[in-house]
Amino acid sequence: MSDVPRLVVDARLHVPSFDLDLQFTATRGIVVFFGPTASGKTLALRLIAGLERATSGFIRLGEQTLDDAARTFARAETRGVGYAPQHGALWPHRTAREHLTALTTLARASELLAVVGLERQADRTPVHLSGGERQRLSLARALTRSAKLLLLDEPFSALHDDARAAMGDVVRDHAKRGATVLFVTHDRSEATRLGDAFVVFRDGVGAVADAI
Amino acid sequence: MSAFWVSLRIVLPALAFVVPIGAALGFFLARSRSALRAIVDSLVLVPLVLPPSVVGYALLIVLGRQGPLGSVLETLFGVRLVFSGAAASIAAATVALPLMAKGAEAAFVRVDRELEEVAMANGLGPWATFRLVTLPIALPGLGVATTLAALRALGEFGATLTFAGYSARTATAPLEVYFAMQRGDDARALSLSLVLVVASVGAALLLRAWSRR
Repeated sequence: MSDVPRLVVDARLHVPSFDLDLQFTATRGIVVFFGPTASGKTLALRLIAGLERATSGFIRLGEQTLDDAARTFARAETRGVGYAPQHGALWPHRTAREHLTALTTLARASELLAVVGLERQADRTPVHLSGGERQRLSLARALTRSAKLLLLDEPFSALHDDARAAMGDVVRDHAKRGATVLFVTHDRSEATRLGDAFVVFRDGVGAVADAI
Repeated sequence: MSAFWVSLRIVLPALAFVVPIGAALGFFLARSRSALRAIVDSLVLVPLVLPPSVVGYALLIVLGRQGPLGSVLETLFGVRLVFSGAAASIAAATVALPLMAKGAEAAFVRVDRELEEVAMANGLGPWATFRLVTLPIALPGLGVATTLAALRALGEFGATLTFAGYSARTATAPLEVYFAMQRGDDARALSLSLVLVVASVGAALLLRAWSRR
C-alpha cells in the first residue's frame, strides 16, 4: 500500500440544524467513518460525493480539487466516485440488472451480479428483493464504474454474518486494486475488522483517530 | 358523429402543445427554487380559475384581428385565427394547460430526490438521470395529468364559443349539444351527450388504472 495522500479533506458544511466539521487525509485502503447516529457521518459522505457543497474549506482527490468552497465545485456526476447511500435508494422501476446497465455494459453488469451473488435475482425489481439482496445490489451499483473513491453508507446493516464476510471481501478486493473506500458504520466490531484507518465522528466533528 | 371528428381535430393539436409544454412547466414548478417560480405558479392557474368566457374574450383581445398579436399574424403571414379550427385548438389548449402543468408538477414532486442523487453520484449526467430515473417514475402521474387535460380540452365550451365561434369547423361535441338543444333537436343533443358521458366514464376508469400503478 502506498502512503501517498489521496483524499485530503478540510471542510466545513452548515445545513439547517447541523454543522459539520471534517478534517482528515485518507490513503489507499478502507477508511471507516465511525460514530453514533446523527453525528454527521452520512452528511460527510454526501459532501464528498458532491451532493452538498462545502461552506468553507476544500476537498482534494489526488491532483483534482473536488470542492474549494467559493472557487471550485466538481458536480456529483463528474467526480468519478461510487456511492451506496444508507437505504439503498434503488430505482423501483428497474430490475437488478438494469440498475447496473444504466451505468455500464451488459457484460460488466453480469460480472458484477456474480460478484455480489445476485445472478438468479437479475430480473427482479427491488420490491421483489430481500433487504440483504437490496444492499448487495446497492454495493454492486457503487462498484460499477470501478471508482477510485468508493463511498459506502452502512452498506452491510441488513446482511447476515456469512454475506457480511463475503461482501467485506468484495470491498477489500476493490481497495487492494488501488481505491480508497470510505465506509460508514456504527458497528464497532465491523469497524475494527475492516478499517485500515478511522475517522471518528462526534456531534458533527469528524477527525482522524488511531483506534476506536 | 361528425361533431366528435371535429372535436378530435381540435383537441389533438391542442394536446400536442399542452403535453410537452405542460410537462416542462410542471418540472420547473416541482424543482425550481427561483423567485420566478411563484410568478409562474400563479399565472399558470389563471385560465383554470377564470370563467371560460373571459378566457375566450382575452384570447380575442390578444389574438383577434385588431389585437397586438393577431394583427401581426395577419399582416406578416396572412393568418386569420378568429373563428377558425386553430382558434378552437388555442382555446382548448389554454384551458387544458393548467391541469397538465399542475398534474405534472405533482408527478415530479413525488419522485424521491435521493433516487436521482444516487444516479448522479454514480456518474450519470443530468439528462441520463432524467431519462433513466425521473421520467419513468413520473410517467404514471404524467398519464393522469394528460388524461385530465385531454378531458378538459374535450369538454371545452365557453372559451371556444367566445374565441372560435360556432361554425362547421368549430362545432365540437359540447357546442353541438348546446346548439342542437337550442334548435329543438333533442335526439341529437341526447345522443351526443350520452356518448360524452360514456367517454368520460371510460377516461375516469383509465385514470384510476393509471393512478394505481
